[in-house]
Amino acid sequence: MHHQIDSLAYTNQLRSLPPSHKVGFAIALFILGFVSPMGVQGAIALWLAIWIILYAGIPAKIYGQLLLIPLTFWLLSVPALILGVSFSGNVNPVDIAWGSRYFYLSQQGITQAQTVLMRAIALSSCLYFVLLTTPFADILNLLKAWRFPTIIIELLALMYRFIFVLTDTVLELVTAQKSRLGYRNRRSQFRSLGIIISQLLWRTLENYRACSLGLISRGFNGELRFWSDRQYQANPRYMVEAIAGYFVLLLLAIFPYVDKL
Amino acid sequence: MNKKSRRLSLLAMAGLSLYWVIGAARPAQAMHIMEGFLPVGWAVFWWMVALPFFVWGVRSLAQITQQNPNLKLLLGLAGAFSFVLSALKIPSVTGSCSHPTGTGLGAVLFGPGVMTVLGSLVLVFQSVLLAHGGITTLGANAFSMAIVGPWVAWGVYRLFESRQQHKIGIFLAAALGNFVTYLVTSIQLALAFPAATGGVMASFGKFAGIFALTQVPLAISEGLLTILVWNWLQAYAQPELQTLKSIKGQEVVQS
Repeated sequence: MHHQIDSLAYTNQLRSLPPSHKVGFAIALFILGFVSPMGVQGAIALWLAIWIILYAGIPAKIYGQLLLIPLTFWLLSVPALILGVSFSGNVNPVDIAWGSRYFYLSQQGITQAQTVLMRAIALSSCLYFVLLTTPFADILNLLKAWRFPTIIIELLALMYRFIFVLTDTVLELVTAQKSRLGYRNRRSQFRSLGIIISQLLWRTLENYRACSLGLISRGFNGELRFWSDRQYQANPRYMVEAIAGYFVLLLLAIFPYVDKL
Repeated sequence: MNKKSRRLSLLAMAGLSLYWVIGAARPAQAMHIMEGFLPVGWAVFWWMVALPFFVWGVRSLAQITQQNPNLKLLLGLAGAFSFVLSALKIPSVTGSCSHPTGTGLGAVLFGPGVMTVLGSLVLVFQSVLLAHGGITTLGANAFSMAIVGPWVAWGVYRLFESRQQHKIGIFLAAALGNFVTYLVTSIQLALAFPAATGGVMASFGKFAGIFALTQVPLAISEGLLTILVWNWLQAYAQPELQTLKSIKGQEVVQS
């Protein structure tokens, strides 16, 4: 349980770009990636890898590990996508028979698996671009500018803050338990975890009491406001590359349709 | 056995081993549909299905917090608690490790309506901080983990509570809350990717079969763990449980 992504979002080299540019760029690519053919999706993934690793300076190893997550999920569902079961008989010589059933590789499934893989990688790259370059606080400010309901923004901000507090609490509890012979076998694993969760709930409510006392004593009237004084600077070089590159990808995406006309 | 079929079976063996080595390394994240996995139509469809529940939940929360602004803090903390809970690793019965969904405990502690909103926000954080799940698939994931899961858990818990069988109720609420989440995810995947022969049903069988390997033991583990938590809370944290009643909705504490 570490928040590597979050700390990278604060320290990457694209941090000073306006969040609206970064998020807008990602959303535009996202929409394109959803509807474009596989080649363009691959281009999007490669281009964003350049942005993330070269321009933002995210270590390639970490980015690779992140891309492994959608890949794992894809691998898990590949058998379900491409394996078919048939009772009607042996259609293909390579089918494997098991009793009266025949297992076969379905052509439709293989195509499906390919499209899903490319789409998942292209769209995950867009998501990762935002995650790795834009801190959550910036995203919240953006949501505020876009007139999201206040209660959702407030809840997100509070959760964001306390996730780190509670994560620290859990790590401390785990260390304490491990140094007192916790987690030695399965039985004690369950016991230790049970204690952690209940203690965590207790600490959560303790935090709540302390915080609400603090807020009330400072004249809390039901409105939570967060202050930010961050200055952002647009970078012409990146803007030109983003817009020109997007234009090229767009042309590549609509070219097959124009060809058909 | 001729040369061709031998080569084929060798290929199949290699593929299968690779599959298990990579796939078994992290079975934990399997139950969130990853970003970009669903086609446009289904992604939009599940957003449309989940949105009314979410809006309804947010509106009831807005009402509660207007009456008592302090509860905003409590809700935020409850959300953070749910997130940290879902990021814990629990030992599964088969020996692998996995993350609990926490929907069962959350639904019983905070109420299913609140859990719909908090669970959806937890999913947002899981995709933002841990890169699990995604934004286009958020609708589908929220439907399975933040809507169906909590309501089923809550229903089961209430059913057994009315018969004074608290422990069975808690166990089944947590285990079924987890299990139903996985079933709904399998249905969602099956609907999006129906099999060539047999259609949606065959496809559901395949997806459910694959995920059952990790999810059934995990559901049992989560149930057992939740009983331990519940016992502790009953014994030592009665005042805290009373505090939590204020966000459940039915018993709004006026202060």
